[in-house]
Parts: sequence; structure tokens; C-alpha cells
Amino acid sequence: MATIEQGAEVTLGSAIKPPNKFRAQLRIIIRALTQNPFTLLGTLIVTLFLLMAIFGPLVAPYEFDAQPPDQKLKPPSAEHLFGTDNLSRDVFSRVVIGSRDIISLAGFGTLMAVTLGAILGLVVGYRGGWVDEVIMRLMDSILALPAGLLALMLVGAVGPSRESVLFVIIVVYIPIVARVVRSVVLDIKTKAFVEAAKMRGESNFYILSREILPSVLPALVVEASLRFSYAIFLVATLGFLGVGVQPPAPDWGLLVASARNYASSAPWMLFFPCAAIGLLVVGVNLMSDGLKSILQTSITGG
Amino acid sequence: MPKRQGKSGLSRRNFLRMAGAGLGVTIAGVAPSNLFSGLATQSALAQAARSGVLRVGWTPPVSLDPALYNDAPDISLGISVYDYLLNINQKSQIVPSLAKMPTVSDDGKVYTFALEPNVKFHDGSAFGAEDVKFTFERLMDEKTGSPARSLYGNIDKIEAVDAATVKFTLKAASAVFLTSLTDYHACILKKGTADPAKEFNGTGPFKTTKDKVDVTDRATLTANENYWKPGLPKLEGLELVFVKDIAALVTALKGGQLDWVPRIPVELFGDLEKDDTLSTVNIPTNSFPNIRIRADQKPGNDPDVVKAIRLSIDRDGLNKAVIQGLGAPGQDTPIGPLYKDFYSTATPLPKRDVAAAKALLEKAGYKDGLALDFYAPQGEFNADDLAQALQAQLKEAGITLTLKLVQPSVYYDKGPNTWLESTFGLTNWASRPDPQSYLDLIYKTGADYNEAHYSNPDLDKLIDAARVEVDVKKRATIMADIQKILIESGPSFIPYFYPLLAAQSKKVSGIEVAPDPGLTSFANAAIAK
Repeated sequence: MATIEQGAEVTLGSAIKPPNKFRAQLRIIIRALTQNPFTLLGTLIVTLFLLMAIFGPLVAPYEFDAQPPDQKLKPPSAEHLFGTDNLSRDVFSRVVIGSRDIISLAGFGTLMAVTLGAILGLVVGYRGGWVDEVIMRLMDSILALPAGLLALMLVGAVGPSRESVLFVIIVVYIPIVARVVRSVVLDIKTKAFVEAAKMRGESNFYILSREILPSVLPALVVEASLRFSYAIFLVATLGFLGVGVQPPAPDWGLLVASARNYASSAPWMLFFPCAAIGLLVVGVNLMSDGLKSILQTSITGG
Repeated sequence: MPKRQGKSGLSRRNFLRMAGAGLGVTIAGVAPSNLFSGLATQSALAQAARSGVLRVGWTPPVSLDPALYNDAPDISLGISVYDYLLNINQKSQIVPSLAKMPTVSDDGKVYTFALEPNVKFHDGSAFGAEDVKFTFERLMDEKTGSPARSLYGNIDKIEAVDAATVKFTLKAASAVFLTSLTDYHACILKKGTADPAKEFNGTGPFKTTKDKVDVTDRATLTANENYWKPGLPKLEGLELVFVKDIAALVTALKGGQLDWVPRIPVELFGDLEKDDTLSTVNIPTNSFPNIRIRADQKPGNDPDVVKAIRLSIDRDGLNKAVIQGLGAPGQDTPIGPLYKDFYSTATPLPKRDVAAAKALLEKAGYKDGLALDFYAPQGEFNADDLAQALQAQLKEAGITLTLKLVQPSVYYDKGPNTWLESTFGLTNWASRPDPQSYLDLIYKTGADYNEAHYSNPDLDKLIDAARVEVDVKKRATIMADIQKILIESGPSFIPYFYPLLAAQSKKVSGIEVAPDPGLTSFANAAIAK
């Protein structure tokens, strides 16, 4: 990275440089994640869940769908850390393996939504005019529907599966991300360093990717982490309503749904998946709060 | 059965409902004998004996017109406000109600009923033969749109001989005619009733009015002081409380806000059994999950594949895993142990044999295993758990199922991969008073609800013979042959029959729970103070 010298080949306007570059931004983000104890805690929780998802099959003591005879509804013990469910399956293994679905779906869905939303926001914000009007009104009309309702309608149209959950996350969150990015772009594009780049005769692509994007990045990171926590909820909600990932996949929402009627007779079936969803969302939120408090200043300062 | 007739006839959703009559068990209870004082006159005694209001928990009713009854709560209101011509008792026997047992002509086509005298409707008018004629002609009228219409297609004419005698003439002799009169749609209405959903003018043990029935909240009923059965009802009043969520009903029962709740899910039942203030009851029914494979297309058109699946299933294991072993054992036919006269164990179901199943699959050309989609109505009577347990069992034999759980409203509609179309899937069927309807509707060639698209001329002949055979012993022989065919080569895998689970406050006595919970009568119910 050290060899990249942005300004070296540019003479005109080299005095007016975009204040933040990717490397600097990255440093800020890493600092943001580790500085505050709460943020650090959030980061640790998220990391833990990520590791659990990656190494799931190594962590889980049993097959998530193994149904041994006569192990029904056993309370937590050394043998079954989180107890067993009504089909004799090990709840701990199911929660561990379930993290793969929820994190990968929410994570990949968020990534796609943020990427596409960011591109859309950058383009319409920078271009302005009728393109901006048309696309943003379209986004507004999608935003007018509550996210949960929209998700249910979409999944009803495409049928329940992993792919449709992914599709739903992307469609639901693109407008939100696009709107945030656009609002930042509208501010940034009037700044002097953008004007300077224009005067240098840089291409639109260059200006968007090298001059504007770095300034949008902090807001984007905050938004992405926020979207990630909402996406976790969305995946779990769809699973709970039975329109998301299909059984026997141990999706956390599905686990909660099937444990609901056992709340008083086998509370461990309900508690652990709920706790997992709660912990992961809290972790992601702590992380995103920390990012926000530090990065927000660099946005307005940009 | 012609398509048109089927459409206006018995709809599957009505048929499917976890209801129907058959054998039942009475909750043992001690009559509150201390309430009867020896000094009172007979009528004053009846007056004095009436006390207490029974609170019953139901999900909201679907229809208030008896001809259109669909769900058990509808029927529960019906059996409280109205009477039937005949009833089915807990031993699956047909017993008199408004009519005495009939005399039958030698050719089995003419049934003459003497009616109970001195019966009055709630509006004070007398009950008579014209009311019976009106009720059944209304059900048979296409304009009424009753699902029960197809049940009475065999009736040629109904005559009111005199005020207390009614005569039914049939087109052909039938083994199921009397059973059809006990159908829950056949509440006896007053002649000329324009809209039963608003009038509630019955002869039954309890009465109510339009403004006391709110399907979003409750129906409030009071005792019929002039009820024709002496001394009944024992209660002062009856309250049917309607709540959508069964878990909420169970909580209300535990909290003492309800006295009787039927149709309790298996997963909530274990907890209630431990509750000291409640008594629980498990009634066998003939309601079953029909796991069936299409017989007219790959791979179910290969008898070896069907046999391999039959050998891969541990029915007892499914019963234990999915419904805590509370169900009655199934043997791949819809004729369950509830039908004592017809249930046959002459043809034993082969024991589970995974190795043999694998060999059969290999012979059928599925050396590397068989992959199938499995469709089931999501969340309907443990279907999700059953699908997952079945998936685990078939996996051992090399049959890989991909589960497709579909919302019941979508699954029981028309379209690709719905219950009548899917290659491999599960359908829940309700308990019925006689097994004939399952055979006519599900297994006969070309039948409207032949979901497996199964066709077997030998079976068709037996089904037709069973329908008209009035002699129970001879009919049982035919039924045994039918079971042999279904066990050996049928398209169904029926692991168990669902139980009806109910719980009540220990203060309550005299509730005779019917396998169709809606047909549970509260006339004899009493509450201890």
C-alpha cells in the first residue's frame, strides 16, 4: 500500500486533496473497534460467533439432525450442554450449526445490499437531475412499506428457501443504504476537492471511486453494521414465520418457532436459540455504536 | 364420482378437519348428588339442580349455519342449541335422539322413524315430522351449498307420514345411511327457518340469541328450562369462549378462567398432566396423517420403490418421536383400531428392514439412493416434526428427502405440488364415523380426493361391495380384504392415528368427550361449588 501515491502524478489541484484515504479510513475503523470497552466487547462477541460459524462442525458435538432414540426433551447436562429437543436432537449442536445459516445469510445479504445500495446512492447522488428523481422516488415507494411486510410479500412471491431469504434482504435494504449514501454524496460533491478533480478533467468513475467514495465510507460502514443486525432479525423472523430457511436446517428462527409450545415443559429449547439471537444482535449493535461515535466526526469533518 | 358433484359435495377441508365421530371415553366424574334434595317436586328438583356456568375454550367458529359447519367450535354451538335425529355414542353405536330407532323395509330402502313426542323448539312451537323433512331437504338443496349434500345423494324422497312419523326412501340399500343421519351438519331446524345463523331456534339443551353470539369473543347460552330430556341440562348456563391461540386457551385453563379445553397440542399436554387442579383425557380418534406417494408416476409407479419405503419406516418410532407415543398404531390403511368391527390384523405389516429396503431400491434402479421432495402442510398437527422424523428414517435406507413445508391454505388449494399433485407428501385426514368415506374419496379409481392417483380394479370392486353390504360381519370380511390390498401394495404409509387431547378443571364432571370434540355434549355436565 505504501507505494500508492495518489497525488504524485497529479500536478493540478494537488494542494486540494481529499482528506481521507482508504488506509487512513481503515486505521480509523480498527481504532474505533478497539478503543471503547463496549465496542471491544461487541467486536469480541461478533468474532466469537464468526468463529463458531466457520468452525461449526468442529465445535458441534453431534450431528445437528441426528435423532437418537430415547433422548427426547432432556434438560441441559454435560452430555447435552443445551439439552435436547422434542425429536431428541442436541440443541447445542443445532444452535452452533444454525449460526452458519443466519450469519452467512445476514452477512452476505447485507454485503450485497450495501454494495448495490452504495453504487446506486453514489451514482444518483452525483448525477442528480431526473435520474435521481426517478430512482429515489422508486426507492421511497419501497421504503414506504414496513420491512417485515415487504419481506413477507417477496418471500410469498418467490417461495421459501435460502436464496429467497437472501433476495429479500437485498431488496429490502438496498433503498435504505442508497438513501444514506446519496445524502452523504449530495454534501461531498459540493466540496472543493471534488470541484478540483472535475477541473483536472478526471473521469466520473475516478471522481466517484477515488474522491467521493472514501468520504462516504465511514457512513457506509456504520450503515452496514446496522443493517447486519437488522438482517439477523429479518432472517430469524422469516425462519420463525416458517417462510425462511426450511427444516431440518437448524435456523435460529425455526428453532424458536418449534420450541414455542415447549416454553414451560422444556424451556432450554426456547432459551438458547433466543439467547443466541439476542447476544449476536447486541454484539453487532455495540460494534456499530462504537463505529458510529468515532466515524461520524470524520464524516462531517470530511 | 363425477367432478361436478364432488365440487358441490363434501369438501376436503371440511372432511379433513380434526373432527368426526366414533368411539369415545367418558371422563369419569361424580355427579353432585348432594344437590338433589328429596323433598322437592320433580320439576322443582330440575330447577334447583341447575347451577353453575361452564366455560369452554375454543378457537373462533367458522360458520354459524349448521349446513355449513366446518370446524369443531361451530359444531359445539350446534350440539348445544340443536338436537340430531340420531346420535353416535362413545362406543361408536348409533343411538336414538329426536327419532327412535327406525323400522327398515326388507329391501333395505325404506326407513320409517317414530319421533320423540312433546319436544318443543326454543320459541315454544312443537317439533314434528315436517321439521325433519325441512332440515334434510335444505341440506340436499344445491343452493344451500352444504358439504353434507353428497352424503344424502342416495335419498330418493322424505315424507312426513304424520306429525310424529317420518319416512326416508333410498335409491339403493346402504350400509352408511344411518351414520349419515348423525352427521354434524344435520341439526334439526324449525320448518321455515330462513337463516339459522341468526335465529338459533333449536330443541337443544341450551338456548341463545343472535346478540349473545360474538364469534370474535364468546357465545353465551342459558339452560333450556323446557328441555325434553328430564333433569337436563344440569348447568345454569354455558359459555363458549373463542380465542385464536390454543396456547392462550391452555394458559386460561391453568389460571382457572376456563373449565374445559379440547384439542390441546401434544407439546402442551405433558405440562397439564402434572397440574393438580386439572384432569386430562386422551381420546383415540381415526384422524391420521396420510403419507402417500403418487402411484401414476415415477418413482411411486414401481411397486419395489413403494415396498422399499414401507420397509424403511418405523411407525412406532414416529409415534413416539412426533406425538410422544400418544397415538394409536397405524398400519398403512385408513381403517384404524377405532373401527372395532372392521379393523383387521389378519395381514401383518412387514417389520422395518433397512437392508431389504436398500436391496429393493437397487433392484428398482436406484443403486445410489433415491432423492425426493416431500411436501407437507406447515404447522398442521405436528406435520413439521413428522416430516423431519420421517426424513431421518428414510435417510438410513438411502432415500433422501428435501422437505417442502407449505402453508396449509396454499397446500390444500389447486396448483402444482399441492396436496392432490405432489409426488410425495403428507395430508391430514379427519376422523369419520365410518371408514367408507375414506375408501370412496381417497382410494377409489378417479375419486375426487385420490391424492395418490391410485387405481386398482380389485380394490374398487371391494369398496363398492363394502358400501352396500348391510351385514356387519360380511362387511368386515370385505374390509379385511381391502386392508390386505392396502397393506401389501397401497400408496399410503399411515404411521399412527392422532389422539384427541383435552383437559378440564377437577370441579367439572359429566362431560362426555367425543372423538369429534365438537360433538361433545354439555347436557350432562355439572360444576361442583
